[in-house]
Amino acid sequence: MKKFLATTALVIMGTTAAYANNTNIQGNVQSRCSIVTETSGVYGNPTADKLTTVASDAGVLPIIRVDVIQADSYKVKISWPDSFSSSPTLTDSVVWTGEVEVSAVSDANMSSYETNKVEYENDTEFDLTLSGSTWFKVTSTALYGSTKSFPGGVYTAVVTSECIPK
Amino acid sequence: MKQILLCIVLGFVFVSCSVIYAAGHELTPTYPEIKESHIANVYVVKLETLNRREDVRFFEIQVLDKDMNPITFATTDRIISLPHLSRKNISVYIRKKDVKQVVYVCTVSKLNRLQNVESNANTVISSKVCSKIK
Repeated sequence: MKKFLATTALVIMGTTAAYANNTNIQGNVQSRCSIVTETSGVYGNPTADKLTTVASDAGVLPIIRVDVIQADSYKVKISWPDSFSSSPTLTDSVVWTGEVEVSAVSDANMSSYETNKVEYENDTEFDLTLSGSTWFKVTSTALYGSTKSFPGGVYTAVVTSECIPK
Repeated sequence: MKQILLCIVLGFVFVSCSVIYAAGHELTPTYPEIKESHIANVYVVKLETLNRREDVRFFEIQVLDKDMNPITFATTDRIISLPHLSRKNISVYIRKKDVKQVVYVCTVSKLNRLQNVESNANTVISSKVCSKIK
């Protein structure tokens, strides 16, 4: 009987000790900006002298998501490409055009981002006055000089996105 | 004598683990402080960077003034190797004479040209995240 009681007591103590062994999970939420590549774009080739990310021309628009934890701390600058980072040898000039637009927002009040954007050269700046996520789509078009055909090969261009604290 | 049966109700907790495709890059804190280092006339800024971009492994550190012009600095590696989903603490050392000019410390993704050509990605996205000195 004594052995039984002793064993029972040990089991209870062991169980209690197991319950007392808590593991804490700690986290730290701090102001930050995160640039997320949602979709890498693809150039469509609707005519021999044109490459474009426009969907109606068989392209795919690059989509960038910017997450901001703290409101009114960051501005984001997104630049559409004005040169190829890799391509076959080109003997004529390429005319570049582009546009950066807000495609979706996590907060309806962010709709002002599109109207308040500042555009210069190939850069577009957005003032991120609210916390949350904003999706940006980038249109890029390259026209080869004098309506020449682009030589066959793979063409790559870089969209740059910068998150800068205010 | 009636036996009282104790019913133990087991609670099943369903944790929905949503797999979110995320490919971002971060730099914290947003507003770091420049502090004196253990070397005379040299100051240090400490930051942490996180890579959630699967397509990028290397990041370049930049120290810039208010007009985004580069400023001389020292660190163990100017280009850091940061595998997917890993974090790294960075210490950036700045000379005393340059401290007042420093406004931004940034990390810029370095894109792998060959990898992008192989994957036939016609546009690739370069990301640059900055912190602003207090």
